[in-house]
Amino acid sequence: MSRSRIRRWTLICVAGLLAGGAGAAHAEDAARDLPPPGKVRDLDYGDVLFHFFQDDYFDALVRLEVSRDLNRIEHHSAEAELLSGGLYLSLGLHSEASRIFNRLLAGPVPQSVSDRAHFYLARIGYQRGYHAEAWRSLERIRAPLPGQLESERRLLASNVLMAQGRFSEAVGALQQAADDDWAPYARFNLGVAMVRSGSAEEGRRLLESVGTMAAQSDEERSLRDRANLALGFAHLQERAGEPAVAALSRVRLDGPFTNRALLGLGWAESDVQRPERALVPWLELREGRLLDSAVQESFLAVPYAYAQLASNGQAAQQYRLAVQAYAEESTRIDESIAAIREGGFLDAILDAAPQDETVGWFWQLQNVPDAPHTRYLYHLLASHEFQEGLKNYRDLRIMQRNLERSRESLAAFDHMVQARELAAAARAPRKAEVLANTDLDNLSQRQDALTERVAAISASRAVAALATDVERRQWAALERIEHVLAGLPPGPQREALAERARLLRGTQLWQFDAEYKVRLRRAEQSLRETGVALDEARQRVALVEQAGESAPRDTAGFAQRVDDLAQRVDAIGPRIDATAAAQQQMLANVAVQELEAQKRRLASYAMQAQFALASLYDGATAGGAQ
Amino acid sequence: MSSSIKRVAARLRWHACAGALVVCGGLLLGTPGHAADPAQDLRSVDQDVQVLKKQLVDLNRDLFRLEEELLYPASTQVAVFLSLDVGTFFALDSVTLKVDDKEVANYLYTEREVQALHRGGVQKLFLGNLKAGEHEIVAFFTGKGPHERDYRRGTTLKFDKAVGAKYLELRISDRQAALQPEFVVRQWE
Amino acid sequence: MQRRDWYARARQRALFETLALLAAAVAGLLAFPVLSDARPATGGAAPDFALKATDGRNLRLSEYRGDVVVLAFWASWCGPCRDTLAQLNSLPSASGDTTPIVLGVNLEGDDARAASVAQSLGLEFPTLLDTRQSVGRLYDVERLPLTLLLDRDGVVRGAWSQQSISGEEIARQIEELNL
Repeated sequence: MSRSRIRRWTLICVAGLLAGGAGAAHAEDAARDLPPPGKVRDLDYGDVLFHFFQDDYFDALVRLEVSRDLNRIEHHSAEAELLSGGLYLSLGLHSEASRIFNRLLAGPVPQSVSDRAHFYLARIGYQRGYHAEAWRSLERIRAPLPGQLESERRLLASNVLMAQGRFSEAVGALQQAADDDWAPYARFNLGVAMVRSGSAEEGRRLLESVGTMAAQSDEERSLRDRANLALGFAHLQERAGEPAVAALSRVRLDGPFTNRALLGLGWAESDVQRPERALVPWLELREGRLLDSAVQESFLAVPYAYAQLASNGQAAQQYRLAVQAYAEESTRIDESIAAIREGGFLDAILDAAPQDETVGWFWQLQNVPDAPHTRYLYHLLASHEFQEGLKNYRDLRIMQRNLERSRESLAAFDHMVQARELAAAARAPRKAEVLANTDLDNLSQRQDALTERVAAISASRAVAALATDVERRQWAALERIEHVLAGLPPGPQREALAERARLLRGTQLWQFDAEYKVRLRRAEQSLRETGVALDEARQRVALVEQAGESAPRDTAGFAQRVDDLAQRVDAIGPRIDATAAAQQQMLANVAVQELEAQKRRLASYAMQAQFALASLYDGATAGGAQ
Repeated sequence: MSSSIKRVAARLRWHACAGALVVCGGLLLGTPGHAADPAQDLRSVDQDVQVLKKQLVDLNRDLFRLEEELLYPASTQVAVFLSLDVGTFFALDSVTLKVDDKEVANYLYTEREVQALHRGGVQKLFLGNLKAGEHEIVAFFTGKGPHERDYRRGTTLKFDKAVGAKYLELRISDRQAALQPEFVVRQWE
Repeated sequence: MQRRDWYARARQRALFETLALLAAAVAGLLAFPVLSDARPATGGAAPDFALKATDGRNLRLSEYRGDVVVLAFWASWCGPCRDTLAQLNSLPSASGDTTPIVLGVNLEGDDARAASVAQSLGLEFPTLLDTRQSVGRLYDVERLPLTLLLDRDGVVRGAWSQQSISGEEIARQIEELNL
């Protein structure tokens, strides 16, 4: 139990080494087209699947590699190859996965396999930003993919088209995929892309459809909010206040997008010359935490509304409030920057984060304690680079744990191998002694001689040969009597004695005969038994001899392997540490840059507030003159 | 109302709105890429991480092999696998395995594991060492079939252990006795 | 007769040698309990196990990886255990963001009694029945109550032995350790 425990932990603690929820789906898909139960022809492949189906991807991959190395999965080689590609992909090893799929495609494989290989390559290409390449791979898919994969292919196709700016084709692709689960997400992406690139009306239509859809899950509601938010701001861009209000009003009041929606609502009202109504959302917004940029803007928006309402006194006061708030916030940012520069903030973030990869969780971090380390996390995580970097850092930490378990396992193996060496060395003299004492040849010669004798007896029915000692003495005595009788002169006395001798002999013979069969059987039986024992002894001696020869060789082999592995472990450790340090440094830099950008924005807001304040004073003076 | 205020206000408002849109856009679509350098650094760290992960996969693979060869050399290795081949859903509950009258496995199956078996996974129930010669395994399974019916079945197999590794497959199947799950044992070399 | 004795002895000796050889293969196995301390110390991995719950489901510890887990070992004759169980019953609502999974492990070997006590306490988390007391041994439980706090990787981060523990204390520990 203990051994398997160690191994299991070595493998399983890295099960968390996933590249992402979407990534996990990659490996999942690789299994869709698997043979139905009962059709697994290599038990070890079944073992791989058993772990794979439970989402233990790392465990499954290690077992798969072992079994392929040992040629245990000969009946499923193409499938196993595809599965290993999918597993590598789900663990974030894009390059390795790519190599595997390309190698797979280089050989003769059934179309179902090549189709899927092309699909995965297309996905990898898209993730890396090689859109043209991704499209080419997609075009090489000949037939609809099995199950869920076909829907994924449509999604990938529409994403690639969007990335290439082929919007009208993307719209067409989306129309074909209207029933897919992911369709609303794609419509949203396309809608935003089109708004940004100039096909605003079409884009808004798409966003409207997503913004008014029925939403079952939290993710869907979140998507709907985003769509309405984007739509609202798109309308604002066109100065269309009423539709903007309509859209923004659909955003939930307690979600991740509330603040922005409130900001937008204010502008929408302001656009249609209703500054008093603009104040409502803006004032509410201003109660929020200043680390949110929408809240920061509200500090300027509120006095602006007051100014529109000609309450200059209020406006001035609010501007002063804004300047003060910005200054305080700037100080807090400085604290955070200092804390980040000191280090350790990544670990604090990681400890606070749940293990699953869905990015949606980060907005909940607004509830995180207001510590210098974590205050600005929300904003940092909006950056793609930061997310990727965080993922890497997390994976590196998991790898360190795996390495630690590997070290422990190796120490145990080393101990085992040493114990064996000692045991073998201790046994060597005894073994020599045993071998010396076991004179098998002599034994087998005697056994053979005995066999021959029994065979001869049974053939000649020389019953006397099987007599017991007593019987033999009796027989010998009888022979002596007969001998003596032969020397006697013939006469009635001799006849009478001879007759008695004959009777006795007859009795003896009869007795021998009766017992003969039994004794012969017994003799043959024991001969067989000792024959078997001799054979076994021979086998065992052979084994011992063989073991005597091979044990030192085996043990030496194991010792070497343990050494090699220990060296590899020692080499990997520092590299993990170095990469983790580099990643942490990078992330710290990104974080600091982000925060400094924030500071700059705050400074610019503060400046605008000052400027507006100055203008108000000017106006007051000028107005006074009027 | 002073026109300068209006101008300031307009400028302010435009700035704020544009800012909001950038933030909004940024939030929705991911911030536009920073200067090339950070992206480059990320890629190289990313590559390093991939290389290290691969090395770790290889390391674990070699450790796995070493452990198996050290503890269960082919000459004495015996592996017992368990698989499901049933037409309707069968909720396997537990399996007990005895080798030469000694209990070597007593496994309780969770829902997740049962699903994995139904999808075609095969469990490596037992891995051990046996001397050459004849041995006996005795296995029992319990579980729930359709209509909440409880099942408990057993099987016995005498097998010969020769020189190479021995694989035995315990398959729970309902193909033979229509919809009644039974053990079917198969020996592999 | 003579020969048979001799064969028997030779055979026995050879047999012993072969066994000794195989014994070497298993010697390493015996060394393990020495190398890997069975009782999970704080910082060590919690050994995996599967047990049947009172509702008939089989639950495996490793399937809870990714969640913070509280393992509570108890028996019906142990008063402080009952206190702990009652406290743990209201744990999920006490600890804010993180919702830990609570698993009770009853070590009595009397399933019916364990189930009835669990029911009378109104426990809302699973009660696992360690009928063969294998898990108790695995975790080297000598004194009750024993309550363990596991992080999302299955590593023991907190242990309370021979004392009942309050929900607040566990919640505090979870927060302090940033689990």
